[in-house]
Amino acid sequence: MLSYLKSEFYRLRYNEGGYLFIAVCSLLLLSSNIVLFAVKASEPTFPYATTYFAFSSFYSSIMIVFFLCISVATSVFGNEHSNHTMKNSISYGINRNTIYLGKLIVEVVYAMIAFVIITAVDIGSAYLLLENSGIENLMMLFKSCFVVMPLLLCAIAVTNFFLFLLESNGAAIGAVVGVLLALPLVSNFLGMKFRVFTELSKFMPYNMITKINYDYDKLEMILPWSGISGYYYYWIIGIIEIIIISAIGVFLFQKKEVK
Amino acid sequence: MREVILSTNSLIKKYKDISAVDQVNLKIHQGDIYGLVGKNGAGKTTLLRVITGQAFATEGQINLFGASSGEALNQKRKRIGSIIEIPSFYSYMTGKQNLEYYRIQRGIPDKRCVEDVLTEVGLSESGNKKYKDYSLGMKQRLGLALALMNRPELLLLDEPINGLDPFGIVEIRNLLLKLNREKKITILISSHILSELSNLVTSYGFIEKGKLVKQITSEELAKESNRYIELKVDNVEAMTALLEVKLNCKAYKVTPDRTLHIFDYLEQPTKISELAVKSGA
Repeated sequence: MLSYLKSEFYRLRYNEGGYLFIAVCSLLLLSSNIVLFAVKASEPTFPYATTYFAFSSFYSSIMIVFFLCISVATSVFGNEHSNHTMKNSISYGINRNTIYLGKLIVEVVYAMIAFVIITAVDIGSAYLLLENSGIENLMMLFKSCFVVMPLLLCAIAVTNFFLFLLESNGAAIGAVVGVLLALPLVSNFLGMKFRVFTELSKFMPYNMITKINYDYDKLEMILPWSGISGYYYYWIIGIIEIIIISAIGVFLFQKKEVK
Repeated sequence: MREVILSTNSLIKKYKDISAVDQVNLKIHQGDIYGLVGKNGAGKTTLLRVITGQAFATEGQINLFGASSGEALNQKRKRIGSIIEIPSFYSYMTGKQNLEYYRIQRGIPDKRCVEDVLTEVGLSESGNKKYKDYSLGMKQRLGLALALMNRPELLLLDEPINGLDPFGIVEIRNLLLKLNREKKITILISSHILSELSNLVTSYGFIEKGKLVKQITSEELAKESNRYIELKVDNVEAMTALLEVKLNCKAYKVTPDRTLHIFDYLEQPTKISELAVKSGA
């Protein structure tokens, strides 16, 4: 496994798409802070050039990050099917579990690194350019990121699952969007008629993220499962879902022929 | 008796109801250069894909270096080098980076092996070129470099000469012969053109519609496919001595019924008959 992971990180070093993704996301957040700073400079009464606004914009838009995880996993996966490169590893006798879980680990590590860099650029530029609204705002950003982290990882696990099982990246992305977005929406509608779907939809990552509310005055997160246990529920459910989807993925990949 | 390092036992690979590989019993001995010959679609690539674990057998068994199933068989695949179908690499990386990627993945400690195999296949000057800029011939050579990187005991090569120019074909053929003779690497090479393999292989397997219809040594094939003059004489020993002394002809065979098959002088049969008449054999 260690050799496989090392080789994947070696490959990632030469994947320009990986650098481009981090650069574009960082620049977008940086430019939004620059715009706030510029507007404030030309109009001193402008109220939004604060770290409060910058950070709350970030954590209230975390759904974007959720869907960006699909693109991250796809980029790291590296067109294995269309390049036909996976056969080189299989033919050499590298265990299929190693390949499946190795890819997942690399996708997760890359996503974490990208997330840390992009968030750091946002935080750093906000503190440099905008009015400091207090440390509570930064803590709120960290708490939000902490709560949704397992759900972001779950999005990566689902993407990895379909990338391994479907030959075309396009079809895989379609299937991922279906599972991560369409399924919860359909489940919500069905829940209006059948109670079982209401219960099921509570555990779907998309719904779990949309159910997070914020009290912006008190700077508090309001989770469906109230209190401190809400954090644990998000993590427990996220981890269970990652384990289930990955176990099914490993099982099915054992039976998949590689070209 | 040389050891059998790869064999298949009634191997079947079906896609729905169609048998791509049908009851194949293959035997490859250590040191062989085995040519798997068949038309396009005959089942050569499918057979190699099953051996390398890319596809799964529907029925039957593979025995590779003594292992026949599960993780043990998979581990034995580390002793193989292969090119199945077209060589495949990451297009945005150079040839050298691609090989380095697989060196790390395979846990090969010797970093110099990348340079060594690139030199061995004649790509030492193109190693820093991106794979997407390689010609088909260069891609084939890089595929061969990857197959050789782990110093395999068995090479499985699926039409490796495709895309090479005549000069490249000779080079690769000589390289394979060298690997076989000097490093004792056993080679299974597939082709749909028999003549491509004629100066290379020691045994042939002919595959047709998934069935291995014949396995034969290169000598046997040469004899079977050659034209010859058939000669019946009373004194076979005297005639063969005359053939060798007077006509310097050594390409003949005496059949069990003491008939001579002469593979030379096909365009001048009168020389043979004159010799037979004059000698009174």
